[in-house]
Amino acid sequence: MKNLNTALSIVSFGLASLVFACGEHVDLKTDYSLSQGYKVFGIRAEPPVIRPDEQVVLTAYDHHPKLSDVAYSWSVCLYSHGAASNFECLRNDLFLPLREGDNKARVVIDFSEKNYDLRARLKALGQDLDREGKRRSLSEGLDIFVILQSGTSTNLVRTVKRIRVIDQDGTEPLASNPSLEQWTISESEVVNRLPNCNVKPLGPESSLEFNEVGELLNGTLRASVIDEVQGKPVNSELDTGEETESDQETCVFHNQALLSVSLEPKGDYDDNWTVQDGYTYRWYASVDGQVLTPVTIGGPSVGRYRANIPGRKLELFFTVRDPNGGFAMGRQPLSLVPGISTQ
Amino acid sequence: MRLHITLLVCISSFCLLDPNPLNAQPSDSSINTVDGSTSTSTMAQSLGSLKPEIIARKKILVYPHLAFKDLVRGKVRLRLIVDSDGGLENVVILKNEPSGYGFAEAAKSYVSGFEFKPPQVNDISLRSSVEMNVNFSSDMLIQKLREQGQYDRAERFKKSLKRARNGSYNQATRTMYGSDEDSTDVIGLSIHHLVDGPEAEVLRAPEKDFPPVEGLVAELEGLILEQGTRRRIANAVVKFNGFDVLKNTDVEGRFQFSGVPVGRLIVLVERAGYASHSHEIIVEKGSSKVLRKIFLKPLSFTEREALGQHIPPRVSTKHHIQRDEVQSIAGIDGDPLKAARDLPGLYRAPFDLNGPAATRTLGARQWGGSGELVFRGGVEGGAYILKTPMLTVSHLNHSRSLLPSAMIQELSVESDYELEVGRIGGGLLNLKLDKSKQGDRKIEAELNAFELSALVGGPISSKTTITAALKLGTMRFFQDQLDTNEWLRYGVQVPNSQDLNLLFNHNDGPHQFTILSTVHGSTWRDDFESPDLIQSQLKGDIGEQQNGMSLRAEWLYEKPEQQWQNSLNISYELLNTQHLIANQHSLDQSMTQIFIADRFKLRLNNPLWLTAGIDQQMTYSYLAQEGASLWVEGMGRSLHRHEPQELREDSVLLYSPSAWLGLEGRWTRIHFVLGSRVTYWSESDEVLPEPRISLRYTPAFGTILKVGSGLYTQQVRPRYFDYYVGAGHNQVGGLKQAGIFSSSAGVEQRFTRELYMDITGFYRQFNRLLIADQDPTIRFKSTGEGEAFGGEFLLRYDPDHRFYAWLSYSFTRARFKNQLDDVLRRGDFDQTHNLSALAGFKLTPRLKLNTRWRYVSGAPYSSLPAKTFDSDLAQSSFNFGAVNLLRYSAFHQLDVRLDYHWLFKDWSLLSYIQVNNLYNHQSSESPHPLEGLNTNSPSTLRTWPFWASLGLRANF
Repeated sequence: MKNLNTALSIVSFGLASLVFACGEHVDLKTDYSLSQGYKVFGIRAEPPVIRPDEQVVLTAYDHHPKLSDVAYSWSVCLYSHGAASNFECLRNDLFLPLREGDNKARVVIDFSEKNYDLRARLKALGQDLDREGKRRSLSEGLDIFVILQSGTSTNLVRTVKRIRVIDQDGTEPLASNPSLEQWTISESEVVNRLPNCNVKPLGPESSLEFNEVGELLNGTLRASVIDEVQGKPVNSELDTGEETESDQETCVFHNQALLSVSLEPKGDYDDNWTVQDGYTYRWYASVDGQVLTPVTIGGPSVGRYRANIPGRKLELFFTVRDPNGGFAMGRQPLSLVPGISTQ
Repeated sequence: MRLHITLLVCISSFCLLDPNPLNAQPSDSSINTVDGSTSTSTMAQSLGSLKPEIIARKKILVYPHLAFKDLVRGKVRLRLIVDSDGGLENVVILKNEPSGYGFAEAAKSYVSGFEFKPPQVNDISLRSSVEMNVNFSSDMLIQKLREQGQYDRAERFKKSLKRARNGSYNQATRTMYGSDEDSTDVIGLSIHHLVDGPEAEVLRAPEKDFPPVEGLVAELEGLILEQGTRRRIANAVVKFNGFDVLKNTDVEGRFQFSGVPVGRLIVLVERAGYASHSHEIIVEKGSSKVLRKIFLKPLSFTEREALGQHIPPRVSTKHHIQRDEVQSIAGIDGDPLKAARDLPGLYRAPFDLNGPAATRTLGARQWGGSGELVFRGGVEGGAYILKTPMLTVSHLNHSRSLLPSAMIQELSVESDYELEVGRIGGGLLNLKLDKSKQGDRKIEAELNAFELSALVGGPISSKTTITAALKLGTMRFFQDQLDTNEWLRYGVQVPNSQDLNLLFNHNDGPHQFTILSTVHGSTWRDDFESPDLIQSQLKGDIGEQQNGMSLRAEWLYEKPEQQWQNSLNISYELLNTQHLIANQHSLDQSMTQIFIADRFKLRLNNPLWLTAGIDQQMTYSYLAQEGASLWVEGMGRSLHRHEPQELREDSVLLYSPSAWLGLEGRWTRIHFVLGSRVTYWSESDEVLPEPRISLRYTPAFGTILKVGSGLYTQQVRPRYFDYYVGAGHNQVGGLKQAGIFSSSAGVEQRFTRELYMDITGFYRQFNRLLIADQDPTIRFKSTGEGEAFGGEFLLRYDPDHRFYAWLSYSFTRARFKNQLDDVLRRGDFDQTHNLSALAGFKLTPRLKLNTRWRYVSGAPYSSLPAKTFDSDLAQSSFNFGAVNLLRYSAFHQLDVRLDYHWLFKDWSLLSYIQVNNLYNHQSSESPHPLEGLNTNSPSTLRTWPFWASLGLRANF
């Protein structure tokens, strides 16, 4: 019995202190800064899909505390192996020389025959095999690569954008970019521009909290995105469960993304996906215009900001990408109120 | 260098302190008077002049079975101590060559049937001794062969003897060993002479049974066991108070008395090194009585422990680690696979929580099954159990091995150039299952920081034993209790893990059946938040899950009389792995492997064996992947790709039937293996030979020179065939099977019974390695070349009764190039220095201190000069710069473990405290799997800081 007690004591002691670990404390919640200086949100091509002889307007959406210091250098390559080759142009003769002066955040490239004869050159390249071993075809669409080197002398960023070129008759745009309709910091609202294009509201109702002087303290933002996709109307369910074909010509698809912004670090949030297939949302925030921090992954996320730092300004950035290479960005400043909480 | 010298001095000091541990044992004073020591020389001389006369031989000399099976002759020299009554008091083995075949036992059994007439002086009978030789000659062998009807074999044996006598080689043998009869076909005879030596003198007291009496008597038998360990104690003396009777326990710890008078008796049990034991028993009227087990308590340092004393034939040094050693090495928490890192040869095994080989190759290696090991020279080997390859050997992140240490007898890094195993790139970690003796039950339970494990085993019939083991990972529990995020910083995603093993053994004459069934599962999942990630903004669930099962069976049929054996081995293994990163990237992989092999061995004549066999390995892989792909591949080429988000499913079936034929020669000084495998590889549609040769030569006692060479290849990893990162099915046509030409030379030297050394140099040449190509229509091509060379050093002091130590060091250079005209660059597994120094001390009989220090050069990595933001996919992609130009910081760590044994009557409890990374050195081990590739100064996983844990193990 004595032995048994001894054994039990040992076991109890062992269980009680089975593990004790000592190590330096690491806080992964520490704010990460994606960019202390320069960040490119994306490149918008207008239109995102072109015919071989059309012109395209390229705009760099970027962020820097002093954008006037940022330099831009654009180039266009007709064929690259993509990420596998770090988007290097396959051969030097596949670079398209751009006009002098194309060193701004916004450039216009005219691919008309007199400039580049894109149709002929791409047809020749279309004989190459894709990675599936199939012949590429200009009538089905080929990607050309726009490469932007931008930034300051100490912080250069390389950005690539594909532009799909399709040899197709007609003059109507082959695709359009999404546009940002509005920022909502209020009650959730059903956004239906047309009755027969009935889009079910996504996500929960917005919730807002204000401080004593009526300024936003804790809220959920909803960004509504309009994206017109010709020939591809969006089917959606009516409340009755019946499906209705929408008008192909006039259907406007409203997409929504939520951002829960908690101005106090303790605020909870709900995970709610608002992303339609093929759409990608990104939220960023900057404090005092200096530090840019991504606050979303795909759709919903939360950003936690200490509101009790007097004088800081929070600015939210929102980007959306559609499946056709369309891109849009918006920004929304918010005022942070120091030190007051309703919680 | 200073460290090396210190260690050598340290080891030498212990040798000097205790040159012969056996002499440290308390010994019976009555035996000391005749054991030839200096203090008793006078007595020995007087005994030597007067010899007893043998007046009767009541037993016949039986040729030992093992020696007869191998047609080995032997010679035993004995000293017989005869008491004044003419009884055989003691038998001392003076010479036993070759040992390990049972010659000494047979000779002792033979002389125990002798009757003597003691010498007399003035009519007074004297205690005396006589020395004699017992020869197990070739004539006896031939006669026995004929008795068994093996006339042809007898004739072949005679002819081989004649040839050997005429040969010049045996002239040298005669010179060395003094007589031709000492010749044997066991290479390493000299080694065994040193290792086993002349057997320890048998301290057996003369036995006396109860005299025949009228009245009520009974039979009495019992079993003597060591307290706590349940080891059976041989040569314990059992007496009864008030009676002049005495019995020795046999090797199984059993004793038996007859004619025991009925009534109350006090039984006394004595054994050197143990506390004397006595208790009262009541012998009742009846035929027989079986005493309960009697447990003796160890008094001092127990006898030589069974650690590491098994030396396989034809080697001079030991490259294996036994279970007891695994369960006591510091820093590994009793995990068998982690112990393998401390042997040379297996210079980098990813059995660690954040081992570089595991995380650096996050991707193919991890998802393709974790059964691969990295052997010297930067190639992958494999782990085998029951002679079948293991698809996976450890849980996720290599946190723990699947098999509990209690189920393993030993693990060893096998030498190269074996014909019986192919497809392993030239290295093999062999796990041998524990095969407990029939009749032994075994219950073991252990709880430590990593796991709760239990094992129950025992016989269910006279021929069949079943053992079951269950392991549950506990570290996840502690991880959840503590700060998960902090653990993540160290790359420690310890999974919840469970595994169940069932072992079935059945021995029926020449048939041996073994079946091992394993079911395992492990999973971890975290809500991870880190915006600064390779995929730009990644947050959410990240996790992995792995589960699988395996069934392995071996049927071994051995017919000693006809000198052949056959083994059939079959395994089926299924491994499912799911990988998820933040709902953006998911990868499910299912791998199934079936392996079947039949191995045949036949003795052609005395020294020559024919070895042959066939096998087939089939691997089926199904892979479904969605989302951006992250893949960093080894093989000397780092590659990273992002792909569009789309669901893709791929499957591939690989198979490789193979046959081999070889010749093995076993002479006294020379052992060679020469042969070749021929294999068809379905993935490349090639038939390739793999010739191999190895030669071992014994020029002197304890010395072996070894040299070998061979060609190896192995199945291509199934992930090379998937759409996203591999060659894809469309490109399989251009694939070739990678080849490895491997060669090595070295020397093994045994200095004393415990101390030995091995120095081996190696060179490996690689060709037709799979290399990633930037052209998406090619993807992979078989143009890679490479080489690896280096040296290995092992200095080891086997456990004696209070000390063990070893020093293992590997030096390696491994370099590769994409194609013939490229410049060689550093390989992924180029690891310049890898050193392990281990030592264990028994401070008191119950208290043991184990230490380990490791030093490993940092793993190479590639710089990331080019980063491009993909505006369409909203993610960054990287291309590596100069491949493997940089190195992480070197790893070094000191671990200490303190064991204390608590002995109870029929069970024992081991409590231990383990302190890892005592001086808290944190090196950068590998890139952080999520953050590490973001910048040119990648954030890295660090080694764990100082931490300590307690553990308990109970044996019943």
